[in-house]
Amino acid sequence: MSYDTLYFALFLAVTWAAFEVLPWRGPVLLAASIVFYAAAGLRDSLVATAVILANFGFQFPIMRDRRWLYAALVFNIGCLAYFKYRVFLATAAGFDVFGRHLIIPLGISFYVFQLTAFQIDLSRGRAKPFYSLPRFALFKLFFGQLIAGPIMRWRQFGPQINRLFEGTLPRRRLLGIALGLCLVGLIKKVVFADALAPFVDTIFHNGPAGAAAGWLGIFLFSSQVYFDFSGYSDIALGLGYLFGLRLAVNFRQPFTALTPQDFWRRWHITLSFWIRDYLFIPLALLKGTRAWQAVALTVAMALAGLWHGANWTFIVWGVGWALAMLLWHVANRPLSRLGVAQWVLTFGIWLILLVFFRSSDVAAALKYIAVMFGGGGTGTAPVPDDGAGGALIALGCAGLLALHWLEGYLHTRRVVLLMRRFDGPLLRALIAGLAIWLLLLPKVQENPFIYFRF
Amino acid sequence: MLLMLRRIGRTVAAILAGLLLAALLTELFFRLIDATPLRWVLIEPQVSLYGPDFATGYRHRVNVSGMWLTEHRNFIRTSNLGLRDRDRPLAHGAGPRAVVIGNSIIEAVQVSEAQTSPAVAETILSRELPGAEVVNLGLSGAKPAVDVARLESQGLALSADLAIVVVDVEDFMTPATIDDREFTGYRPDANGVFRLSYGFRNTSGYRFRVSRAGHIFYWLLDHSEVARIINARKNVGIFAEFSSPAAEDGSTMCSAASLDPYAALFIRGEPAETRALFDAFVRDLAAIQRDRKLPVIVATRTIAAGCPALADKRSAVIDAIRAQIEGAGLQYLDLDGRIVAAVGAGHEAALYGFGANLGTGHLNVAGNRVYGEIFADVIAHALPPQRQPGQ
Repeated sequence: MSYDTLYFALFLAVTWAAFEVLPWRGPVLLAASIVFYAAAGLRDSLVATAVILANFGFQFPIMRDRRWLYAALVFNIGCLAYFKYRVFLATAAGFDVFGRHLIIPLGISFYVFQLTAFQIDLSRGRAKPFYSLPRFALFKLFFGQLIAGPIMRWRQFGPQINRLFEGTLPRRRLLGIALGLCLVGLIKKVVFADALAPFVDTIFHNGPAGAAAGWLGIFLFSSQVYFDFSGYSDIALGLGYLFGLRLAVNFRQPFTALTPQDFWRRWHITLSFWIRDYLFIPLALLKGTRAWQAVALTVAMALAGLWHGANWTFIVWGVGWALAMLLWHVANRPLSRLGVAQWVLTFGIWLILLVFFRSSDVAAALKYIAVMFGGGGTGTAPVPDDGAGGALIALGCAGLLALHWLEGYLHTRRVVLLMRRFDGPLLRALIAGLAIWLLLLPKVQENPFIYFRF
Repeated sequence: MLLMLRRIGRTVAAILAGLLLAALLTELFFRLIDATPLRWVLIEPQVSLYGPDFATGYRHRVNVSGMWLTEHRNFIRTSNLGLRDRDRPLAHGAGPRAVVIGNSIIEAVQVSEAQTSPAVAETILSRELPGAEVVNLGLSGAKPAVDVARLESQGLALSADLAIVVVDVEDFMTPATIDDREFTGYRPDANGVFRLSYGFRNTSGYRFRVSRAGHIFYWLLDHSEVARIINARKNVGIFAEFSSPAAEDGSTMCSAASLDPYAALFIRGEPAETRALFDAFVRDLAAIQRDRKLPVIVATRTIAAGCPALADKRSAVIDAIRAQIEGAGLQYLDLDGRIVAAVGAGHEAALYGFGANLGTGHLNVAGNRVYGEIFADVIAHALPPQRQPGQ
């Protein structure tokens, strides 16, 4: 069930009404979340059920003996490896036993990571167990963050779930803010991300005809993936607030980052912190040397890349980011003196590495990058000129970046206080009405949320 | 109690005001997009081109303009005659005038008007025959019955010298061809003979569309973005996104079975009802040619050409079709065969689709050009001698 559809809006309205009217808020939200995920199909539902039940069971032996954590990790990562990576791993090892057709269970990358983090935190005493299966199930299944995050930690989400079931969750007046976030997310997805998709698809499918088309294509894709994923994340935040739950922020204007490190503190924040806390730091602590830390960073980022998809392109993407971070670590002083040029460099690295993220294979990515830097290609997709000249396109690109800065203003305390001040039936109806009009507009092309694939 | 009622009243009023404001802001937002180059990038309600028609059930409305978004973004404007065509007078000019009737392939809303196949044909013919006209009577979704009805109404009104009727042969096998609830269809009469049927005229939808309320509805469509959104959603269904996408047809163009239905229909006359439908189509076109003195060329599509393994089978099918059509006094054009001859076997796919969807969908600019060149050649040879190029 995609967030940018009318039937989801209807589902949400019914769920919210039941949540407000009925006294059993936790069970209502759990039931709605089960219905939401069930729409993905029987197979996906069974896989999710099995993983959740197994992890619920693993809690108790882990509390008694930390060594049970390894069993839980093997199970969780094993599930992910089987359902998402078996073809890739088998092919990499030289076997062709699984065929090529693979349908990844919806959201498996996210819920496996969230449950794995929970089990690790439990073993370290940073989380408390759920003795109630419904509470545990809702901790993972809440439809606002089930399919594409944010990846929630127990300390952020667990106590809220418990208070929800106990009926002690504070009911703040956040309806206007919740609806506002959903609307912003919808605008990002429906108005911008989906609009950019055909241009990106054309340039990548047919190959850029020249450097300008190459840079334009990857810039548009960077905007598309940002609006798509951050739009989803905004909707997720809004959905959480609708039910009194506070989810983690996943994006903080990443295109304003001056360094690669800063970028990853702003882009898909919950994933990058997961990689840092559960992969990089444990690996880096195995040895104290700087060289080993560099290796740990490279391995962690490579796995972060692999998390996005079963393809060598994602691994190259992750390793590329590790190398960029290492460069900034080594040459921090001279680079920090570059000023605006440092931003240009960071943004340029983001664009170049993103080519690997978008391309079907490494060879295609390298070919694309070569065209970006003037190497002649065989592509046929020029800079689009339907109704617009180069100046207009440049203005449009500048406009996309300006929207990014504008968004930073929208997420400030001042705007939040303004929303709370004017929150009421008029504002809520206005925001809901705008969202409904956006949803009423039929799609001319199917563009599922990009991160739903992971 | 009174206080509570007043409070409820204020809340309801605030909600209604909020919803109204949302509609106004939505209207303003999309008007802003439509009025600027942003219309080439951002979403907006797609233009609604069609209105009711007594002869065919639906047709283009006059002087409607807006953005077409499906498959390839394009700015569309219908003509002063309510056609997917340039502005031209209804009266016949000094040069010869041909009309090309067909479905969305001929309508070609995905490309600019000058790039459509009839426009390309007109440009080519005009070089040899100043004043030559080729009028685009293409209409999205037109089935054989609609083609005939459109030729009878709009084609004859244009006083054409020649008509090319492009028909997808597979349309004779679809139920839509005999369905007259929304547009003209072929229905069997009391004697079982297929005749043009106009059942749509009795439907509430048609009666609404031709009523005063319908005129207001179309005025709103032309002047309100919000109305277009509502209309577009009504057309696709309120929960359209919930249905699964149609499974892709795994059969290939050159599969052995692809010609079987046509061989059965045109060589063996099976099924009988479908054959009777085709006979009725040919009969009606022949009647127009005979009674109205309007030469008609029937151009068939969707009989895959360029498959060496199927060449003999295809030839037999084409020969059977040709015999039927030419036996009725009409002229015949194997459009698929001419396209393969023009671009080479295996290259036809490049004539369809746009961007990342090259190879599927409607004719792109190259495809329209190839069609236009074929039409120009056919028209040049089919015109009465005194009207031919060089005469």
